[in-house]
Amino acid sequence: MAKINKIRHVLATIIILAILYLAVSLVLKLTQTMPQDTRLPVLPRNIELSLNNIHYSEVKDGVKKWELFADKGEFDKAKNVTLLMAVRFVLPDTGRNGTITLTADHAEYQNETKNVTLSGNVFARSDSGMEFTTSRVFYDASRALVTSQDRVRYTDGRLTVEGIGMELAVRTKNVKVLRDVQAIVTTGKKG
Amino acid sequence: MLLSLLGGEVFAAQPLSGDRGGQPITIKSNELATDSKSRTATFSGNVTARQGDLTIYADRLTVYYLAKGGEVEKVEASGNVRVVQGDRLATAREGVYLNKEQKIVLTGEPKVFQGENAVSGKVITYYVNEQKSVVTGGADARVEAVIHPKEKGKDDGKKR
Repeated sequence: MAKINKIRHVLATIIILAILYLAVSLVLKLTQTMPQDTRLPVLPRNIELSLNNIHYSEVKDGVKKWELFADKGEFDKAKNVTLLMAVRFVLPDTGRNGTITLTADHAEYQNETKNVTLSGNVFARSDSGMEFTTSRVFYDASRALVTSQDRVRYTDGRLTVEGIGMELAVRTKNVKVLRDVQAIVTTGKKG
Repeated sequence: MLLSLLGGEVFAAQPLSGDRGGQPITIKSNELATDSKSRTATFSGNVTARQGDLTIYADRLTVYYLAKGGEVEKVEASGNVRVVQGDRLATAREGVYLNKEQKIVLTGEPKVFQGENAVSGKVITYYVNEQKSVVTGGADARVEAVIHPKEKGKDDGKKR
């Protein structure tokens, strides 16, 4: 009888140890698969909101004036400015030269005035083939005017221009290069 | 009155400069304004335009493009226009360079100089490939030519 009890004790001990082992293994496995820190990164004090895959557009009297796309953005409440990264700024066709698309590394969108400053590797191309590159441009929403104070390289058809400062009127697609103009006009038949 | 100055002692014709119409035009200026509607590019302020050995100086220069193909149709220069090719100089208030025809039509007291020789009239058409000028007079601007004949002795000396 004593032998049978001893066997029962041994079996009970084995079962308890097995359960404990399984429980400990389970707990360890769960803790390993859980993320170390699930908290969101802390935003700078001036940033109210961080956004991904942004799309802004301005529509006036049912007509789209421009569209702004960005991979990432941060809203600065104090300045009422949205800081954008990897930006595409689209000025729709007004009947001349087609749509103009500007890309840049960064942009600042003024929420109140709807003005946009693009900076870093600014590149523009129109459907008609007009292109320009510069380091920084400012879009004045009230005048529908794109301006730059920096060195600009502009090409349109047979005209290639380098100069300092530029104005592009969005409605007419007319361009002004403001200083130190050097141009090459290719002549004769193409190809 | 039409006076064509071909060869001779005043404006001697020289060999053609090749296909000038196919050569690029390089332009320097203070400012540039393009107009997509009129298909023009207007350069202003100390404009210098060069195509091969031909240089045009002006206060303002407008390049006109053809709608089809975007080829340069003509170049209009205005204000203190000076055209220089080799030892030839032409001056006028306005000038139009027709790219296809390879000629420059100068108006506004036009004058052509070569060394000490000079010709003026109402309109001067300068054929850039042939390097010849056609001077046209009018009621208020007769053709005037000032020619300094070369000294025979000097010429003879050069030929020896």
